[in-house]
Amino acid sequence: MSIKPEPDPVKNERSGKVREVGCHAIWSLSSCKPGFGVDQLRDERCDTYWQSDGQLPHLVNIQFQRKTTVSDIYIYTDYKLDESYTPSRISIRVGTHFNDLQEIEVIILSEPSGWVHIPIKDLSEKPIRMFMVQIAVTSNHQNGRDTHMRQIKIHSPSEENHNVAINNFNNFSTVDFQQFATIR
Amino acid sequence: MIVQEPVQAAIWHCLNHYDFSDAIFLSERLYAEVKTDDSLFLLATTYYRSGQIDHAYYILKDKSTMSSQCRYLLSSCAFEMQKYAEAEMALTDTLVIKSTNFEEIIEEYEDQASFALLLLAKISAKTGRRQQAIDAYKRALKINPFLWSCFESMCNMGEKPNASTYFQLSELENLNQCHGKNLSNIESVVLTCNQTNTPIQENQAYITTPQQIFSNTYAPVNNINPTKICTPEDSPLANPLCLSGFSMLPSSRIKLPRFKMIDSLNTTSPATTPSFGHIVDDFMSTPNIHSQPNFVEVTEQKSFTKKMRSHVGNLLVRKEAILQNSKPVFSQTGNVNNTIPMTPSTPATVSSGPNVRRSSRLFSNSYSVKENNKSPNRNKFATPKSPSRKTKQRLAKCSLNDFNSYMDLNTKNRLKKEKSETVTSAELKTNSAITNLSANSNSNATQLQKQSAEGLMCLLRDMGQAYLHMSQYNCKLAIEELNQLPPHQFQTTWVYSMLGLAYFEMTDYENAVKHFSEIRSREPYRIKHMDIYSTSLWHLQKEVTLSALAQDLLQLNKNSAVTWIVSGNCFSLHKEHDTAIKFLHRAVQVDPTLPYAYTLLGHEYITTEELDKAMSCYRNAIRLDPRHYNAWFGIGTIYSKQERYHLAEINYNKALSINPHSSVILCHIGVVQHSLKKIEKALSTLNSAIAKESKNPLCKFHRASIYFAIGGHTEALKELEELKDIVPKESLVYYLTGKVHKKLGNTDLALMHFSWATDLDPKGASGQIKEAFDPSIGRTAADTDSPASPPVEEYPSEGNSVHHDNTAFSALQEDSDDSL
Repeated sequence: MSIKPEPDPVKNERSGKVREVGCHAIWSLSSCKPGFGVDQLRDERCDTYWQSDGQLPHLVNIQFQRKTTVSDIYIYTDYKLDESYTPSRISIRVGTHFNDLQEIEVIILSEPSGWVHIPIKDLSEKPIRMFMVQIAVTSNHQNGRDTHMRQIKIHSPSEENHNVAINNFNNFSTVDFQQFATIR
Repeated sequence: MIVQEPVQAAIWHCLNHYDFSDAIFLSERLYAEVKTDDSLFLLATTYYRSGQIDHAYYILKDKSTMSSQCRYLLSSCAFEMQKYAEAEMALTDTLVIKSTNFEEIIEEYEDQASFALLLLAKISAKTGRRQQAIDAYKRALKINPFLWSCFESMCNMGEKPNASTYFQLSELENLNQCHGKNLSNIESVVLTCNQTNTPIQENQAYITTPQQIFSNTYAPVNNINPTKICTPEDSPLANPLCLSGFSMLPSSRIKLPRFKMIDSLNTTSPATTPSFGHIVDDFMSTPNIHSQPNFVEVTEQKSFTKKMRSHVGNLLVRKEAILQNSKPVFSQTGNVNNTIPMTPSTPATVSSGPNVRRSSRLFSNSYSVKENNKSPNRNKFATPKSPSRKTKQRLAKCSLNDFNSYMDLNTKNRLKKEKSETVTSAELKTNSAITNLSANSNSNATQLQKQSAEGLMCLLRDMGQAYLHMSQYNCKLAIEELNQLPPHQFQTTWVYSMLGLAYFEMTDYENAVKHFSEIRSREPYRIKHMDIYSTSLWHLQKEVTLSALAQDLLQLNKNSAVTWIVSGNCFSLHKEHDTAIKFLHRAVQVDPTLPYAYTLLGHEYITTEELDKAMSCYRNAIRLDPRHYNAWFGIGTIYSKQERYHLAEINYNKALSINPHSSVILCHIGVVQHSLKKIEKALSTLNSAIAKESKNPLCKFHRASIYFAIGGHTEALKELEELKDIVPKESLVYYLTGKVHKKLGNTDLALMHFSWATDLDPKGASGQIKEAFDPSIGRTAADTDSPASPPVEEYPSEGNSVHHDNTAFSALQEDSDDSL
C-alpha cells in the first residue's frame, strides 16, 4: 500500500485550481478560552490554536453569504503538541442554517500530526454547495474534554461553470496561448 | 553699479542651493520686517519648494490683492491640495473661465502666461471640462512650445494634436514666454556692437543671458516696495550692448565640468552632434538680418570633439558670479532658475559670427573681423558620415546644415585641425561685421535663440508624432517613428519606454520585455513604466523575473504606486490573489489618481469572484481616465462572467473603440457574439482579429470552436491543424480536435487526440477532458485495457489528484455521470 503524501492545502491553492473561501464566511465557535478563539484559528499560523471551553461536542460554524461550492476542508492538528486536546472524532455537517444541518462526513483521527484533509463530496462525487458548514468535534484523544485546533482551511473549486463563455479563456496549458487570453 | 537687496538675494541664493531651512527662516524674518508682496511671494516660494505646500497655500490664501506671481503660486498650491475651485479663482478671479478669457490671462501673467494656462488646463481637466482643458493646452503650447506636457496631456485625453504645428518656434516673436526674464546658469553668448575696443582678456568668462542683454525695454525694477535697490545710471542696459557693466571674472570661476561631455560618445564619432543645447549663432541662414556687409569667409571644416570641450569650458560661469555682478533682474522677480542646459551627448558645433562670441571676450566688430581672419581654426559642422538616412533627413529638415563654422578667436585655444569625417554642406559662410545692431539686436537675438532651439523643436515634433500614434494605439506607426530618432536620443529611457509600451499594446510581450529589461539594465532606479513591464512579465508567466523586479522596486521606493502594482502582479502570478489584493490596495492608497492600480485590483477581484467589488474598481478607473480601455474590458469581463452577454458586448465595443487594433478584444467580442448566437458576426469579428494580428492563436482557436459548434467540421479541423503547427503543445487544441473527430465519428482519432491532450496537461483542463469521454467508449476501452483503473471524479478534488498522476494511460478513465 502506497503512503499517501502529506496533504498540502497551500500548494493546491497556488495551483490556482481552488480558492480558499474562508475569508468570505462568518466564523463562530461554540466556546473558547479568551485569547484562543477564531482569530487564532484563522491566522495562517500553526503555532496558535483555538481552545474550546465547554461541553462536547465543540462546534466550529462557518456561514457563507452566498451558496458556496466547497470541495475540501483541511484541519491542522498535532497530537505531539496537543495530546489529549487533539480531536479524535470529527463530524462534518452541512446545510442552510443551524436548524438545517446534515451530517455528511465523519472522520476518525488517530494521533494526527499535521494537516488532515477532508474531501467534501456528495453521492455523485461532486463538491457540495452550501450556505453553512459545521465542524463538530465529538471526542478527543485520551477522552479529553476540551479540544485544540490550530488551523482550518476551506477550499472551493475555481472554475465553476464550464459553460460560461469567459471560461474558454482561462485554462490554456501553454503560455503561448494564455498570454493572449485577456487584457490586463 | 547695481546693488541688490542683500536679504532677498541671500534667500534666493539659499533656495537655489536647496538649503530650504535657512531660506524659510530668513524669509520669515524678511516678511515680518517688510510685509510686501514680493516678500510674501518669497516666503510662499520657500515653503512650496521645501514641500510644505499647504503652508504656502494658507499664507497666500487670504490676501486680498496680490501680484500675478503670488496668484499663480496660490493657484498652484490650491491645485496640489486638490482645491480646484479655489485654484481657478486665484488664477482668474472668476469661478468659471471661458476660452475668451485666455487673452486676459496672457496679458496679465506676461511671461508666466504659458504656465498659468497650463495650470488652468489641468484644473479644467480635473473638473471635467474637457474642451476647455484642451483649448487651454493648445494656447499654452502655442505661446510656449517647450511645454511637452501640454501635448502629452492632449494626446492622453484623446485629442489628436498635430505635432508639427505645435512644436514650432517660427511664430513666436520672442522667447520670453519660454524662458522668462531670469538669469540662470544657462549657457549664453553676448551680442555686442560695441565699438570700443575692450581688451580681450583671455581665459575669462562670463555669461549673460541674451534676454537680459537684448531687451531694450527691460525695466530694472518693479518699484512696488522699498527694498534697497539702486539702479545705477549707467546701467548696462542703457546701452544694451555695452557690457562694460560686467566685470570679468577670473578663470577660476569657470565651471569646466558642467560642459564636459559626460558620456563616452565623445570618443565615438562626431556623428552625433547635438542639435540643441548650445547656442548656434548662425546669422547666415536668416537673411532678414543680413543687412551688413563684410562677411568673413569661413572655409575650413573640422571635426571638433576636442576643440569643443576645451572651448566650451571657457564659457561657463557660476551663477554666483552673475549674482555678484548684480543684475537688476534679481531685485524683484528674482526667480532665479537653476536651469541646467541640456548637455548634449557629443560636442556641438557652434558657429559664431563676429559679433556673437562664445568665448569670453568682448570685442568690437573690427576686432572680430581681424580675429576672424587670424583664426585658422574653423570648424564646420560636419554631419556624420553614415548616419541613418532618416537621421540625415531629419537633420536636413532642421536646417542644421546651416550651422556655421566655429570660430575660435581665443588664440590660446587654438586647437588642432582635425580631419572632418564628412562634409555635407560645404557652404562657405560669411560672417558680417555688424555695424549697427541696436535696431536689429533684439530680432537677431531672437533669431539666434530660435535657431539654437530648432534642433529641440525638430526632435519634439518627431517624438510628438510618435506619442500621438501611441495614444491612438497605432503601435506600428509609433514604433516606426521612434526608430527614426537620432541614435543618441534613441538610446534614452523615454524612447525605450515608449517602444516597450508600443510592443505591449500590440501584445508582443517578448519584445516589450526585451526593451524594458534594457531600461532596467541601464537605469535600475527607474520606476516609471515598470508597472507595464510587470504586466508583460505576468502575461509571459515569468515568475522569477517578476519576483526579482518586485523585490528591487520594494527596496528602491516604497512610496510609489508602481512598486505596489508590481508586487501585486507578482503575487497574482503566484495565484496568491488575496495578497495581491492587499498590495494593490496599498497602491491605490499611495496614489489614488492612478487608474491602472484600480484596474488591476478589479482583475484580482474577478479572480476571487467578488464581482461587485471588481465593478466598483473598474468604475473608479474609468472615472479617473475615460480612455483606459483595460477598465472597459474588465467591465465586459464581469458581464461575461454573469452571462449578460449583451452588456458584455457593449463594454467590449467601448474598449475596442478606444483601442481599435487589439486582437484580444476582438477575440472576446467574437466569443460573446457566439454566445449570443450571432454566428456570422462572430465569425467576421474573428476574421478581422486574425487579419489584424496573425500571431494571436486564440482567434483561430475560437474560430475553430465556432465552426465546430455550427457543424463546419472540416473548417474546424483545418484551423486546428494550423494551430497544431503554430503551438504544438497546447492541450486544448488536441482536446477540441478530439471532440470534432468524435462528432465526425472517428472514435480512434478522437481518443488519440484526447490522450494527447491529457498527456500535455494532466491536471489542467482534465475536468473538461473527462467530460469528453463518452461513457460507452470509455468503458469499453477501460474494460479491455485497464480494468483496475480507479474511478475518477469529474471535478478535480485534490485527494484524487494523486491518482490522476499515477495512472499511466489516463485517457481511458471512466467517466462519471455528467458527460457530454
